[in-house]
Amino acid sequence: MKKEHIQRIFGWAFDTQNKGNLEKLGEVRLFKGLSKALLRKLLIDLFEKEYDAGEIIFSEGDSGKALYIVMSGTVNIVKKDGSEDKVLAPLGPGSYFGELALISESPRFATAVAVEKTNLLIMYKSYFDHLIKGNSRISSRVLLNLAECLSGYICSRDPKDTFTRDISER
Amino acid sequence: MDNGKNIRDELVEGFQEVHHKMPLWVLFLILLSLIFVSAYNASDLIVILILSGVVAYILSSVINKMQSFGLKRKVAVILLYLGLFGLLIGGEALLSPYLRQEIGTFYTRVPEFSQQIESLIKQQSTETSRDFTVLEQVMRKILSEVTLPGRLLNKTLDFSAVFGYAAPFVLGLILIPFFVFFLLKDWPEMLKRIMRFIPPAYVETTVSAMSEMNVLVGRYLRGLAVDCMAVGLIATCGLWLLGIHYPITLGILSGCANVIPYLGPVIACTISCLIAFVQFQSVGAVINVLLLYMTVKLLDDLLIQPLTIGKTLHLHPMLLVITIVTGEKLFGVIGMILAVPIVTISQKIITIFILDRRRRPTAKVDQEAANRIIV
Repeated sequence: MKKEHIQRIFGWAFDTQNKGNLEKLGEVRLFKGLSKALLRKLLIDLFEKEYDAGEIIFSEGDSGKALYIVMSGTVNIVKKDGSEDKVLAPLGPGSYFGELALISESPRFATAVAVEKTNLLIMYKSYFDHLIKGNSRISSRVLLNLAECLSGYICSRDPKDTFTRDISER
Repeated sequence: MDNGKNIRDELVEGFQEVHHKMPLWVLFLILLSLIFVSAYNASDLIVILILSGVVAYILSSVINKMQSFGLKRKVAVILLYLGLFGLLIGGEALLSPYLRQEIGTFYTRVPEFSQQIESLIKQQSTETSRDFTVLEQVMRKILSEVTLPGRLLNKTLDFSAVFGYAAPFVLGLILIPFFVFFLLKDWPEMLKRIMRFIPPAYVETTVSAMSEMNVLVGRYLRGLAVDCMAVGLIATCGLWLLGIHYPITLGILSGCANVIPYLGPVIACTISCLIAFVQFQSVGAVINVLLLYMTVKLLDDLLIQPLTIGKTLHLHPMLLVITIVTGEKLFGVIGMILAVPIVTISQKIITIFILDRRRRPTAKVDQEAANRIIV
């Protein structure tokens, strides 16, 4: 009751415009379990960029330096299969891609293309390093989420795949 | 008429030919010269803009923290300004009796000090038959810059002279808070607009440069601010314990001068030694002050700087001296203070871009790994 009363009086001072973006960021698997204050901090610190339909976000072979979070629109992850372009996954709001760049600056394994007008948040590796170094609570949570995501990728692969076989043989 | 037209066309064609044939480094040099000339001519405004940027950068972390509690950015900036205004009034109320008296007497006695110092230098130069004109000029310049606010406070100069000195000072006092307010409030929108203009192929390099700059420069500037405050505080306490007059003024001067590597502590120490000498008329007092500044410098190098700034950003000593001299030539004492942080930051930005260029050719896809897993 008291909290509501305070919110009613000082409601004008609080940011309600970014509520939607905050909810979307909270839904991102990598940031699950983070407090609202931390999510707000991420929303403030991360770079935002709007891409037009058909714009290439990064190409296969590019040096990977950043993680992308889809806030609105759709991104296709495309991989060359011989002469054909194979769409691996269409990613909508709340999805993210390029997370391997946070671990190592390895080359991109596929191309990311904006299907429609798309708004992305960009997190660069040094910011991620700075974020997890500064706070053990965040680092354990985010790194655990990242490990879960990577294990999810491994489990969802075809059992005939070399990588999965390597793991199962151990 | 026709002849005139032909000459004009020939000139235009000639210009276009020169433009296309001109090597890139010549264009770069012309651009650099233009920047230097305009910087020299609009030095006051540029200094004000740089100072506003630095202040906004330091305060942005406070605004971001306030925003992370859910406050609107505009509200956070207004609250911060109100807080700073309150601090200023509170500080004025608490410190003004001491500070005003100290600064007042310090600045009224500055002509006396400079006369004594000048006579001392002249006496030394006649005794040893050496030319001290450069040292004398440097001392005069430092004293004149240091005493500017005091001279304005005490209104010892005539109106036109005060106005001549005061114009950039008052302009800065009005414009810096004004620019800082809008930089703090509108920075996210400005950044969004900048990002809109960056082609997708350069987004990652730009974001990488901005992120690394943000982490390193933020740490450097905030560290520098804390370092200067710590040095100023220690120097004030030390001077007060030694019984030297004007410890607060000299402490503030020592803190500010600490931004200039090597030369800053020497300047602050020299001024404090001269004041100690004038006050006590003994070499012992000067040695005490020298020992104090040596202790402060050791503490700063061994304890404070590693804790605050760290060793992430460092300039080569030769580049450092060139930077300080160029800063002084372009913008005076403020230039000396700002030159080192600006060149250090620029060096970091250039390093990021050079590293990025070096990394690019090595970016080859490991096809085996690519077949195994994800993006």
